[in-house]
Amino acid sequence: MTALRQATTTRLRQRQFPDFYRVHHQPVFRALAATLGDIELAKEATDEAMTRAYQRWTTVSTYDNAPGWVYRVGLNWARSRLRKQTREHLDDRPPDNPVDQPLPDPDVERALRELPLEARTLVVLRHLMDWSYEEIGAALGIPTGTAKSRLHRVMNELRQKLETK
Amino acid sequence: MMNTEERIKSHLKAMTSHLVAEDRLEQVMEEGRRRQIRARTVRVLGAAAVVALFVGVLNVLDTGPGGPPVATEPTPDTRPTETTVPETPPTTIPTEAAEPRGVIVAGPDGLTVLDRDGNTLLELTDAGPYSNVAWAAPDLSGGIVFQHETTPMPWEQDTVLRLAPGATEPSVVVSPPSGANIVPIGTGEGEAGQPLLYYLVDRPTDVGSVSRLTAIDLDSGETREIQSLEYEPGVSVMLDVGGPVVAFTRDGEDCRQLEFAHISDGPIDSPLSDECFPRTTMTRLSADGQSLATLPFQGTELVVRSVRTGETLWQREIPAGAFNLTAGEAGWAVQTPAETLLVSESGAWSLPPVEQGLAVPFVDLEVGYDAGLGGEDAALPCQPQEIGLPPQDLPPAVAETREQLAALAASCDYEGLAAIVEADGTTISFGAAGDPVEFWVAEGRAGRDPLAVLAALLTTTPAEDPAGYWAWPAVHVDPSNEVSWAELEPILGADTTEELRQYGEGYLGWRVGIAPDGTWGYFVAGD
Repeated sequence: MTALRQATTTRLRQRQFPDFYRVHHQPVFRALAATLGDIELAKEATDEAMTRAYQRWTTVSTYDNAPGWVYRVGLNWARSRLRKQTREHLDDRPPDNPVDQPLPDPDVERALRELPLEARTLVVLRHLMDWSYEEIGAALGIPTGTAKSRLHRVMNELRQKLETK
Repeated sequence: MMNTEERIKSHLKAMTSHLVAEDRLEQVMEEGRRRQIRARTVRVLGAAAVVALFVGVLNVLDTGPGGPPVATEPTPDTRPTETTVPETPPTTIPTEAAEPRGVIVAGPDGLTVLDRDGNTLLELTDAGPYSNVAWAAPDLSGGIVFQHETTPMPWEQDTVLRLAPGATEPSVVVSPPSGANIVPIGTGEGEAGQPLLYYLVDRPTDVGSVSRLTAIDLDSGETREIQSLEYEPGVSVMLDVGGPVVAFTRDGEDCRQLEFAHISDGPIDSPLSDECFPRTTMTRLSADGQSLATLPFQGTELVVRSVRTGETLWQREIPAGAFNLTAGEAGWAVQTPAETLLVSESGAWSLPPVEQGLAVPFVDLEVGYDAGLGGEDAALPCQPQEIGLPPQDLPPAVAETREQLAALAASCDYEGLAAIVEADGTTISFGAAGDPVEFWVAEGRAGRDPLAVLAALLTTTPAEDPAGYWAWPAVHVDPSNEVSWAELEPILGADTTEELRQYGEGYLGWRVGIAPDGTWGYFVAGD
C-alpha cells in the first residue's frame, strides 16, 4: 500500500495556500491576540507570518504543524516589534483588558496576565488551540517532553493561584 | 464546578471567540509573491554578483577596444586569456523578427505554458522532474531548459535540465562540479545561430568566490568559458545575456550602470553605458542582444532602446505595480499582481497573473504532455487487479455507477473512466492537466496510482454527504466514524490514516462521490 500512502500524504501536503489561509488565519490570529493581549498587533503579526508562509509555501506546507510555524513566526515578529517600540508591555505583560470586552473570568485573566510570555504561550496553545504536546513542541521548537513539563509547572502555578481564591 | 483547566479554556475561548481579523488573503499573497520574486532575482543575478569583478571584461570596457576579448576557453586560471580583438567588432548579432506566442511559467507547481490569449497549453506538474521549478527559459529550438529550487533525485542540486523538443523526459545540460554551484543566466543564439545556455559556475574561495561565466551549446554540448569573475569586496555586478551579448550591471551609490560585451568580439561601445539609471530600474536585454528594455520598479513605462545607438526604439505603457521583468524569445514579460503582460514591438497581450514564479516569453515550443507521461510507448502505471465489492445498501443508480467505476478502475480502463468524467462533468482532483487520463497516468507514473485508490475506496463503507452524494470513505462525511477510519488503515496505512485523522479539518484524502441519480460527482484529494 505504499503507493496509496504516498498518494494521500502527498495530496494532503499539496494543500493550497488559500485554503490553508482560510482555515487557519483566524485561529492563529486569536491565539496571537490572546498571547500578546493586543488585537491590532496580533492582526499585523498574523499578516506578516502568513506572508512569510506564502513566500516559503513549498517548504512550510510540508511541516507537520504548519499553523504552529505561522504562530511562532507571528509571535517572534511581534516580540521584535514590541522591543523596537519599547512599549509598556515590553516586560511581556499584556494590557489590562486586551480585547476590550467584559472579562468572562477576571481571576483567570489576572492570573494569566501575571505569567511571563513564554508560559502564557503554552497555556494559550494548549487550552485555546487545543494542541497536543507534540504540536506545541513543534510550534515552539522545543522537545515534546519539555513542552509537557513546562506546561505542567505553569498549570500548577495557575491552579494554586486560582484555587486559593 | 469547573476545574482550573476548564476555567482557563472557557475564559480564553470567551475572550477570543468574537475576534475577527479581516480576510487579507489577496494582500498577503501579493506581498509574498513580491518577496519571492525579489529573493529569486537577487539569488540568480546576485550569485553573479557575489561575484563581482572580473579581471577581464570591465577592465576591457574601461580601456576600450584593443583590450582582451571576453571569449576564452576554460582554463584553471581565473584570469582570461589575452588575444587580439578586431578594432571594429563585426556586427554578428542576429536580427529578431518573430513574435512571442506566449510565456513559459516556472514556479513551485512546475512548468506551465500559456499562449498569449491566456490559454494553458501545457502543464508539467509531476512531483518528480517538474515540481518546484525556480528558473526556466526556452532553449531556442522548441524545448525548455530549467533548474529546480530544490533539485529532485537522482540529479545533483543545481543541475540544469533540458526538456528537448519531442523528448519524453528531461536530460541533464550541466551539473555542478564538486564544490561549486550552477547559476543559470539565460539562453541566446550564438554567432552561428546555435542555441546557447549561459550559466555561472560559482566556486567559493578563501577570500570570496570565483565565478566562471560559461556558455554551453545545447546541441553539441560544447562549452566555453566566456569570462572569469573574481570577488571584489564592495563591488556588485549582475549579469544578463541576450544572443551573443552579455550585459554587466553595476550598482553604485547613486546609479545603476551597464556595460555590454559581445562574447567573441569584446566590448560594445554603447551610449547606454554613459547613463545613470536609478538603482531600482529593472533592465533586460532582448533575446537577440540588440536592445535593452528598462522599467522602473513599480513604473508604468517600458522603454526599449538600442544597445548600439542608445536610441529609443519603442515604448509602451505598463499597468502600475510591475514587480518583475523577464526577457525571452522575441519579447518581454512584465509581471504585475493583476496580470502578466507579454510585450513586443508589435503588440501587448494580457495573460493571467503569475502568482508564484517567473514568466518567460517563447516563440516556438515542441513540448507536449508526453513529457509528463513518459511517451506513448511507456508502460501504463496501473496494474489490473481483482476486487470484490461488498454489498451495500445503496440506491440502484448509485450501486450501478459504483460497480461500473470499480470495474473500470480495477481493469485500468483510463478511457472508460474518462468518458464518464466527460459525460457527468465529474470533478477530479486539483492539478488535473485538463485531460483526466493524462492526469491519472502522470500521477501513476509518480508512484501514486489514482485508479488503485478509486477501486479500493469503493470497497469501504459509504455515507451521504451534505450535498446528497454517496461518498466513500464515510469519514469524508463524518470524521468521527471509527469504522470508516479502521477501513482506511489497510488501504492508506496506519501512519497516513493517523496523519489524516490528526489534521483536524476533516478527512482530506482521496474520496469519491456519486449522486443519487448515479452521476459520478467527484474523485478528489485534498481540498
